[in-house]
Amino acid sequence: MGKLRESADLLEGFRRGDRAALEAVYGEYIDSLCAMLKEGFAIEAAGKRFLFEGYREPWSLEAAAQEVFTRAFSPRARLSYDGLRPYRNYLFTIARNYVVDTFRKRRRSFVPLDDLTEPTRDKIEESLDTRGGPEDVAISREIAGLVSEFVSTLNEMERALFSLRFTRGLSVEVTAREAGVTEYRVKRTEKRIRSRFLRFMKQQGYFEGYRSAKPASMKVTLLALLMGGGG
Amino acid sequence: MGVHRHHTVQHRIDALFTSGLSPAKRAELFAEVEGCVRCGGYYRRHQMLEDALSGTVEGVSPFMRERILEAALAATPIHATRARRILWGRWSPMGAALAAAAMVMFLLWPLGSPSSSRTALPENAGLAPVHVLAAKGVPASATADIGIRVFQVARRGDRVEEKDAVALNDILTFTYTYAKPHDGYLAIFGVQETGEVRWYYPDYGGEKSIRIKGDRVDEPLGDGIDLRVNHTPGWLRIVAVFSDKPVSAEAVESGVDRLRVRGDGAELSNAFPFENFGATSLQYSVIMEIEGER
Repeated sequence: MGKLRESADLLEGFRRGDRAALEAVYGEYIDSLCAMLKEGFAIEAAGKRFLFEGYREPWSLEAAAQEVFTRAFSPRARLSYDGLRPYRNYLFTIARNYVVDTFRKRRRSFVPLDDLTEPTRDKIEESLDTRGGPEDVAISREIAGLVSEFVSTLNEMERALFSLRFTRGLSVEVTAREAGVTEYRVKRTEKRIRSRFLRFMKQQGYFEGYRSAKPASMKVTLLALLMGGGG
Repeated sequence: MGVHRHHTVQHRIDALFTSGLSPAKRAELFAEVEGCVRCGGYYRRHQMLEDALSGTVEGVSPFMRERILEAALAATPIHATRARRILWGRWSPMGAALAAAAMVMFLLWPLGSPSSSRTALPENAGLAPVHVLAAKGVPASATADIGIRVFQVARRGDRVEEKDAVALNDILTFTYTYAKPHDGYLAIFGVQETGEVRWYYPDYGGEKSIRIKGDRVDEPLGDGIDLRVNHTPGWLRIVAVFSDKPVSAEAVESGVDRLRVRGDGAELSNAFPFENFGATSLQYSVIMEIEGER
């Protein structure tokens, strides 16, 4: 049924803009919203039906979800929700409107449905289902092994915070409470762990093929080439 | 958007997944990544790492959830929180303590290993004025209309007198003067030689500046900044921004970044290049020396 329709207090807090109420609503709908934005859906625009292919890339999904919730949490949108209709539908309508706005700016992610034959549609569906392919599975296994290796290098305190924050996915606030340390310390430790993990993965060659050299080293190379050519 | 440079974008991607980026910088980064296959691949690899670290197989990682929520809340006017009121409650008793600051008062300061640069001060804290190397903005005196004063918290056995320099094991605290008829807002942060921000007051994390009462002289903040945490010997520039409207953490961060790029954070003639602070904002800076071997 949805918490907003069940609790008058929550609805009141949500309309008022209480942080706790906004967080509760967010927690209830973030997963289904992201699933919807990722899977794509049909939209109608300019008198035609289009298939929105969904946000397949993590940055585009994050950007879209961020924008949809920003719109949904705006005072106007909060006050416009009557508390009677399912909030999920209300939120998804905001998401659709966002996608239509995007459509007006660029059509790259949209395929006219009327132009598609059945085999082509199947092919698109197949291409959309990219996650979990054999390559991804192999990479995930490789990463899992490296994560285990990295975790074994953490000290006792770091490992305790890693377990709470990363493995159990607890918030900074709850992690701090459970570990008996300040939130600031949790944040600092997390940052340190992430930085070390990044260095570790770079040493393992994880980013090879994607990384770009700094311009300084490029200049040195260019200079060396020029000097070599001149001699 | 300027010229796309892979290494710059990838450096920002690294920052996003290690120390985090403000919502506005994230949005800029997403736009940059969108048009570049190489940086897109780099980002994707990072996301896979984050998913692996948090054991996310399907759906959204808890960290992405936090980032999206942070961005949505940052763009939303949030109703007053309980935490803010508690903070103010803690400040009030400090008024009496500071009024007696001229008297010699001592405290035993706990010397355990600190975990945060910000720490609440006991009510009987002895405070010694700190000598500042330079000040800009508003005269650093109790008679100024607007400004902050910096104090070192005295330890047992210390004489409460002005210090030429502070040490890495010192704790600093501040008072503010805001002799305006209406309430205002105050944000304070400390920057060191590398251009790195050592601390924000209030704590940084998308929060805005604190609301301050008008018609106040030498009002104590009640919290201290522990120099043992995250500081190095050398100069420390403390910047206070008084404004009529709350200053966003994002605006502060972007100003600090611009100054860091210019590499002249210690030069007081250079105001922090903040934008969007509004016409009524006012910066006040002091520079002091932290003793110790570099």
